[in-house]
Amino acid sequence: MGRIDVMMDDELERAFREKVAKRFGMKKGSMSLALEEAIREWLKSEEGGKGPEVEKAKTPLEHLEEAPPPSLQFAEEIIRASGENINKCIQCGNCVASCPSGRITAYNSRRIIRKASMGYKEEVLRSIELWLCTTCYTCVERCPRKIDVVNAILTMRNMAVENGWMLDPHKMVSINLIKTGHAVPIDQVTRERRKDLGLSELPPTVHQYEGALLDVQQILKETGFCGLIERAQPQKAASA
Amino acid sequence: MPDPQEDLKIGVYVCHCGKNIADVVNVKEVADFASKLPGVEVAREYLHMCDDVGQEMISNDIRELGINRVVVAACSPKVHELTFRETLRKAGLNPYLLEIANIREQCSWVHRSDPKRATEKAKDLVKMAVAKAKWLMPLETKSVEVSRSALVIGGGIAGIQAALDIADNGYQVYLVEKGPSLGGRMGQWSKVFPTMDCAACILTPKMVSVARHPRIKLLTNSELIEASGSLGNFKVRIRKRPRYVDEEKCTACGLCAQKCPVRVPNEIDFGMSSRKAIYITSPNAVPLAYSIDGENCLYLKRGICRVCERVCEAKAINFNQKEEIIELKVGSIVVAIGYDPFDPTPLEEYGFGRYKDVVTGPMLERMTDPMGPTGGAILRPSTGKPPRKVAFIQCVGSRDARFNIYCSRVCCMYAIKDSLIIKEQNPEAEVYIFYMDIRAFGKGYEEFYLRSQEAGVRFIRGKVSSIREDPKTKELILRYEDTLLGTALEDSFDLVVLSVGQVPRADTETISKILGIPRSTDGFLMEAHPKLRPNDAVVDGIYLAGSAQYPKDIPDAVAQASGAAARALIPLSMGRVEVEPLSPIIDEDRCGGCGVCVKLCPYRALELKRKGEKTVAEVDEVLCKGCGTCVAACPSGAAKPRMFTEEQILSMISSAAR
Amino acid sequence: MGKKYAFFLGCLIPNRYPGIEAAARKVLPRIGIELVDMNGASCCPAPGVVKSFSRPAWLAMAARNLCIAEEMGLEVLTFCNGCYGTLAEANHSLKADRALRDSVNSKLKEIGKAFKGSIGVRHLAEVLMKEVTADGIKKAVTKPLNLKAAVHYGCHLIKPKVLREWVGSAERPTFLDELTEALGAESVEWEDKMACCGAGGGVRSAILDVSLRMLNRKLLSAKEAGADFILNVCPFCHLQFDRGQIELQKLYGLQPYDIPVLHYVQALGLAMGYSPHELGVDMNFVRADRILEKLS
Repeated sequence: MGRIDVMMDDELERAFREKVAKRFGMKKGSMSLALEEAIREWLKSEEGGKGPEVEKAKTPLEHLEEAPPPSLQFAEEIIRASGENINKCIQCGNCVASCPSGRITAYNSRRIIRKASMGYKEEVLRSIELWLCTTCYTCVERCPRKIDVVNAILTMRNMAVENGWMLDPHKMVSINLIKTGHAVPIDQVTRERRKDLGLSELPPTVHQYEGALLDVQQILKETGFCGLIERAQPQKAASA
Repeated sequence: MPDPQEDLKIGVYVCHCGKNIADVVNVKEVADFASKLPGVEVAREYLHMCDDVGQEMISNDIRELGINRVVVAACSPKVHELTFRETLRKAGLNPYLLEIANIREQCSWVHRSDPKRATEKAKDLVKMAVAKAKWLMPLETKSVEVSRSALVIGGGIAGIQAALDIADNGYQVYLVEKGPSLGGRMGQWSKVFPTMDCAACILTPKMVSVARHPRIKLLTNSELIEASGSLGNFKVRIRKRPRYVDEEKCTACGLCAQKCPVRVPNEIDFGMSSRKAIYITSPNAVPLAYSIDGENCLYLKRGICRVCERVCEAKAINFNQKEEIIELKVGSIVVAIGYDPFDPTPLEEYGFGRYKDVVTGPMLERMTDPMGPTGGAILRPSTGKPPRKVAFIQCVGSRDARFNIYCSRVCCMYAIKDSLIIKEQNPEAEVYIFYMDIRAFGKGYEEFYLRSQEAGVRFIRGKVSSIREDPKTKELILRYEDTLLGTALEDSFDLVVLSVGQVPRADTETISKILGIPRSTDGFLMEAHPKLRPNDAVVDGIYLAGSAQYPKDIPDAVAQASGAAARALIPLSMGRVEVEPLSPIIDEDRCGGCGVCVKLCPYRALELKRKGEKTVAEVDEVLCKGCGTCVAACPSGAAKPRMFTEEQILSMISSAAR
Repeated sequence: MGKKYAFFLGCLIPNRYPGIEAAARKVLPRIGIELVDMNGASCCPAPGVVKSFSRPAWLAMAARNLCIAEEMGLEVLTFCNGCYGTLAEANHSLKADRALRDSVNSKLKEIGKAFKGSIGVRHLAEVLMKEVTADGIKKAVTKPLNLKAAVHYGCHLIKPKVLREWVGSAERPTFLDELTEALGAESVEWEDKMACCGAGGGVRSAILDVSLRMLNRKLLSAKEAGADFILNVCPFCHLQFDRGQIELQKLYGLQPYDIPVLHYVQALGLAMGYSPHELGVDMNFVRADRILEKLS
């Protein structure tokens, strides 16, 4: 979730709030809904009518009138799958303070662990936040409860993908991997450069060895990877 | 040897221990099985053998059925052996005709998942106990006089309190302190929470009471080097290092220190100031006398100087003083050796040791002391000016699985205290406390926390992840998440205080070895039972007080010290202790005086003595702990145990094998 | 002849920055490191993407690569933090957990391979530090790089520390600075030195702008420290620093930082007198002219 704090003219603010109250009532989250709509309209007018796709704005959990009570199941699934007991977390926030992504986005690893621990499975697995971790491991080095946060995040990512939630570019990378055995396969420019440098045009990897590529594809099939990728639904990677 | 004429009638009593045993082991089956064993006259089962009804059951059988050997299948002998011995004694049977089969700790508790086999094992354990019971002999305890004095190790607030309580009860106390003066850690603090009392003001009267007490012998510059013996009769050796200053003559005028040319870092100020080789720890020191540091004194190391001697008007300097070894006999020992503050250097992300303006809580404390390195003003080490924005970081080295998982109890409170002092010195200063939880558990503590919030101290819930120095402003930039708001941010401060916790002193290991008292996994000295015997060490006759046992604040240290003193007074006031018949009998006809046992005994309980024509080994029953090493080593079989005899052990083995 | 290692190429080095491969093949034998090709090796697989999608697939692919080295009887040598992270962790897990090993071997059996746990995985930086040593590097240098280097360790090289005892300190390591100074360069203090470049974890692949925002902080900090170039030991960090600078210009309209980027083997090659061209230095997006002028 992005966040913008602005100063504005008192009159303007008052007028806006009045209209919001008239249109949305005093419901929690009405300001956000109104502002989002206003911003999209403005963007559309700036683009000359070709604004970004107006998606139905999802209301995050905090805006629901009544949040569901906590459940233990999701945490137990994570503990089983990762070996990491996320219930040990005392929410000290050292991870967030150490996080390079957290510094520039609203990615908050502590909150994800809390939500996972309290059972908000779908919200966590469908969030873009889950994909903002660069796996730099700084949080793991500093956690006073020695929780491997990265391990927990990766486990939840696995679960998200199993449920078919995967970012489009990642789907592309996976298709490349299945087709060529490389997440980043060689391109024409590099083939030329290799020759220029006195190297073999194709590197002595699966690019050169057909049999090895077939082996890799076999493994990817056996481990269910191919099936996973096929099932993944297209997800837009909105900017965070 | 037991009397072969005696008609053995064995009673077996199998305990349910509520559900502790009965949930896993089929107690009825075990009792039935026992009843069929040869020699067993009666076998009963009951819910709690240790309660009145259970004990009555045994007493009745002794009186009415003539039971003369008792086997109790229940919990560990460590729990109720004494209870059942007492039952036998009251019923008129020798208390050592009792054998306990541990079917709880060694059976039901560890085999919860296999009740069938656990029951079979319980039967085997009872069978073996019955076999041993046939070979039990009546034994007598010996009543031994107690050395009616106590040793207190450690001259901090806990040691001082324990010493005063024991001495006030009329007994002699030897108080051994490693440093040149009493006072310990409390002597390093300026104000204490939550009262904001001046520490020296409330501590000094107690120190003076110790010095003046007719029944306390204060041994400073001293440490324990050896100990042996048991409850009521300990023999200890103390090494008293020379002060090189006559305590009677010294007037503490300080001229010697003024002239002394040697400067070394001052441990009292955690290295923030220096002292001379001749020094006094504080103007309130007890004894009030200077002391020469033998490691750094030019005369003692290199044979030159002696300026102090020349200028001392009282002629108190005496370089001829020598180390003394003092041997004492005491009845009880109280260990109050205290703690060290955690050294945060390994937490590289905080830059302690790299950035001058990152200090520890204890260092800040010293700054608040008018006798301290800054004359009582809190100053930035880099500039010597008062800080405008201070951050406290809590739980440094505590509540951290990477270092010490435990909570040190005092850090929340001392940070709040110091933050109030900062505000007092400079109401304009901004003070922030970064915490994971605020633990204000004691009397007046929550009120103190409230007071600090009202005084404008800001509390932010978030563990600071890293500290770096701004190369231009030299301010310290802290990165943290305000978890209650959910925002990650950075802020700069000109002084950062790491609230470090308490860790066991470096010499805890040494004391533990000398006294034979184990430590817990956290490294502090272990109490006999965490709930019911928090002031007793695992070894009888040795008691624990203060942070040596676990981090604590001053009220708890004082309370525990008085508790330990009360425990330590038991053998002293009773005057006699019963010595168990653990020690072996030396058959003087067989003993060849070879001395192998003397060399091997870990407790130095054996001595070769001239008896008539022969030289034979003699055992000191008080020092002996019944380990059996001499019995195993004796080449002529002259050393015979009274408990765990060969016949007893072999009979258990053969019955198990059948 | 020097010590032989199984040369693990990964993806980015052979398929995007072959200069690093060329540099390795030319330079390392001269300091006692013999590289033997791992024929048929594949993507390690990339820890940020594949491990995020399916841990079993990640582990099985990694195990297959390790088997190739085991069959060669040589330790794996990698020049990429990501490949190091994957292969070292996979190797460790498979060696330590019997059940896991059996399960992976049951899949490898289908392709006629079996993981035995007979070799180790090394990163170039570790081998240079421990085996060649800074002194050994110094001896090989003929044209010292009189430049200011912003040394970037990256993340998977040094963390999680518990699996990397050889690193020393993960908060303030010194070994790569020492190796850089052995080249004659000055390793500058820069504020975000230990921060992540922002590429890993699948972030660069799918959420480029977030990844570039992290990169921007690093570049600002390197610029403020007056660095002449950025030194890395990972082709993904290399890509992020190199191509990322151009992307920051194009996507965000920022002024160009113009800080050249070198992988350690390229810097070593330059210091040993090789031409920029044979080391592929001129194939970077950010031109290295500025520093090459300073060197000649």
